[in-house]
Amino acid sequence: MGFLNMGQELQDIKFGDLILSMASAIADSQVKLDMASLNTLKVLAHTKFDFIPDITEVLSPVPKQVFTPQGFITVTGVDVSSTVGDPVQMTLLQAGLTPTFYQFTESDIQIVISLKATVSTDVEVDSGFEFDDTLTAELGFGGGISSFFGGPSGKITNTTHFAAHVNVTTSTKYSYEAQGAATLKTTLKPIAAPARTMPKFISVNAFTTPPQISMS
Amino acid sequence: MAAQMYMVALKGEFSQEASRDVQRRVRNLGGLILMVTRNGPIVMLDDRQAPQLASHPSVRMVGGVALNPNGMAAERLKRIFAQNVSKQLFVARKDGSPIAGSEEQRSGT
Repeated sequence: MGFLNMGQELQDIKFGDLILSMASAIADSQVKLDMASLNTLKVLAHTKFDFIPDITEVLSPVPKQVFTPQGFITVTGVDVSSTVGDPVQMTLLQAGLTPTFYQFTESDIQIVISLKATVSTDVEVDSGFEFDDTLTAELGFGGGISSFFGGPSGKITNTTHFAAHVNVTTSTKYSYEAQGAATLKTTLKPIAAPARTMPKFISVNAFTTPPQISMS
Repeated sequence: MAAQMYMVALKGEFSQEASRDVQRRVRNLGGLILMVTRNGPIVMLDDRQAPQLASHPSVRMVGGVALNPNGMAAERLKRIFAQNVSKQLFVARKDGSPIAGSEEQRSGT
């Protein structure tokens, strides 16, 4: 019977399997998230936009004559001419957009198991007895042939009937209830892109001799 | 996580119509368009709305992105984003449409 095996029931719960399935689910999700981030990385690496690297402004003096009550005076004017550099095709990744990577930082698993066993026994006792008492008296007086043998005669009979019964009914009910609930809670946090997934940017500055190479 | 920056990649060849339709969807979901590229827009959107945007028929992928301040044109991108956002905030204030990350958007009203 179940209620006798509650300890066994608890032992039968496969905690190892539960933890393994949770860990597998997290690992699968992590792979999918990483793949999504890598796809974003590809899109960023292939999305180009026109980047204007420089705008040159040249300030040139333009002296002007200004009339005042004291006569004409010379003030320093200025002329600003702007030269917009040729646009350069740059990818969003080069520009500074990076994919967001996510990581499961902590996971909790909670298992609540409720076992309930009840035994109830009902006993019904029905008893009773019946009593019946009968008193019979018979009297006889002489006359006829009886007068030769004596006087009056008599008989008293007392009859008692006694009956008793006992009915006993016993019923036992067993009930067994098992309930289980598992809660999985996990925290997902954005993290910096893993260094191995990001391309290295190698810049060669040809303005200097020899050219300067920098990596980031 | 609330509002995040996403790169939205469009399906197939660039089409003005598909791009505009996706941008409209972003605005309807309370998001903001930070920049539009031929591959798709860069948007700011409440992370709960991202799956809805990803279900748009013209969207191939929605992926979270971050701005690396050391990027070659990070400052320029920031300026472009700020200019585009300010225009949309001005319009949103006028027509009362929800904005990603705002209180009414977070509470789902």
